[in-house]
Amino acid sequence: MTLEGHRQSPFVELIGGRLEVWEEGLVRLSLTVEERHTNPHGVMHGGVLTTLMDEALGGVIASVRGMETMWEAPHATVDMNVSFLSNARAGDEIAVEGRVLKIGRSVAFGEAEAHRKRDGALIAKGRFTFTIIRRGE
Amino acid sequence: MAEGGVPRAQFTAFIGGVVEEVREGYCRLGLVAGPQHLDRDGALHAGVLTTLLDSSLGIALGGLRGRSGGPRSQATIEMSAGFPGRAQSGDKIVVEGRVTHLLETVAFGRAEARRDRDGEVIAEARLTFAVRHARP
Amino acid sequence: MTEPLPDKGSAWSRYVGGVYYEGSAGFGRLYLDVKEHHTNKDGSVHGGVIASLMDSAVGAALHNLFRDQPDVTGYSSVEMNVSFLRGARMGDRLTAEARIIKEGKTLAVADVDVLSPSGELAAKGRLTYCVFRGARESER
Repeated sequence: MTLEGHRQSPFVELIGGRLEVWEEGLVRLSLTVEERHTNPHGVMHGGVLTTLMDEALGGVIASVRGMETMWEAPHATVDMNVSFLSNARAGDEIAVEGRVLKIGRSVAFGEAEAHRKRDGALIAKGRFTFTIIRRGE
Repeated sequence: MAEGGVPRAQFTAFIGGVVEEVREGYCRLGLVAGPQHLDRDGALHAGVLTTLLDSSLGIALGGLRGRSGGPRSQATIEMSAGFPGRAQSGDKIVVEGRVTHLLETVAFGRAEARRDRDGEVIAEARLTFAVRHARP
Repeated sequence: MTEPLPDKGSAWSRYVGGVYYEGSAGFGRLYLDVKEHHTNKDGSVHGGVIASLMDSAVGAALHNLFRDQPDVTGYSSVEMNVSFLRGARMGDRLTAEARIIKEGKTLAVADVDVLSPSGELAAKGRLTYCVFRGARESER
């Protein structure tokens, strides 16, 4: 599937996430941090990152499994674990990349990293587990 | 400022989260899921839940630490969440966060998200915060 | 840079049997030969062994990082998260590679990969540690 033809989640559209790369095995989303993405301390809310990570990882697993397979047996997030290492503020550009660790028959694992574009700092790292839902089994 | 004098996260407000109750070390948030909150499969996006889970504890912790007074800072350093259920557009989601331990440099808490109509738990999380206390 | 660790680790880590192999500041590599006492009933390696090996690998990486920082008086685990991706069996040599991805004043975060003999990822972990520094100790 092409980058242009790829559909983003309505929630990712709402918060302003942009799809930058959609390849087999690599999906990258980016976002420009605005006031609305911050908490009262002025730093980006962790939920912005977990949202983009979930989206990137759901996407990258789809890119490897293939759209046909995915429609037959969709995958859904069952578990996530994220470490927040640094922060971002309004005006910062951030990029979130998702990669596949393993795709099994019933479970898939992916890892995501979030970087601040101005200095390349790793600001968060997460690992997500997805269940593959096989209908009628 | 929300109830209890605790500022609520702008991002949480932006996505439609409402602070319903804040007590010592406890916070409850609500959100009515709409079409803007969905993922590609038409279910509630996990990011909505992780945002609310994180915010509920951030507010609960801010409220608890606020009582001991002084300027302070706190930041989520780690979050683990499991998603045993799903929710659809139209569902009201209730999220409760509780601080379980407040130590010198770190704090721990648990949060869970339920579907209001049947009380079913759809997400649960454990969070760790780095905290910095006011210096005299 | 390959240097042996000056100490052999805790009684527990010696009992588990991870062997320090090499490292540099913020990096540590250990290996473990899976023996019968590491296994579950079905012969697969017990998850607790993997978690323990990860903790030892990060311990080595932190030791290598902090050896030139005399104000660091110690560190202890706060949190760990592990995904078990592929099983291992008796006779397998597992390699654990730990990298410090965040070094803060009071906290450090490490990534650990545990590799199977063929180099495939057997487990992946992220561990968070509290770092104790001298100045902070004296404040207590």
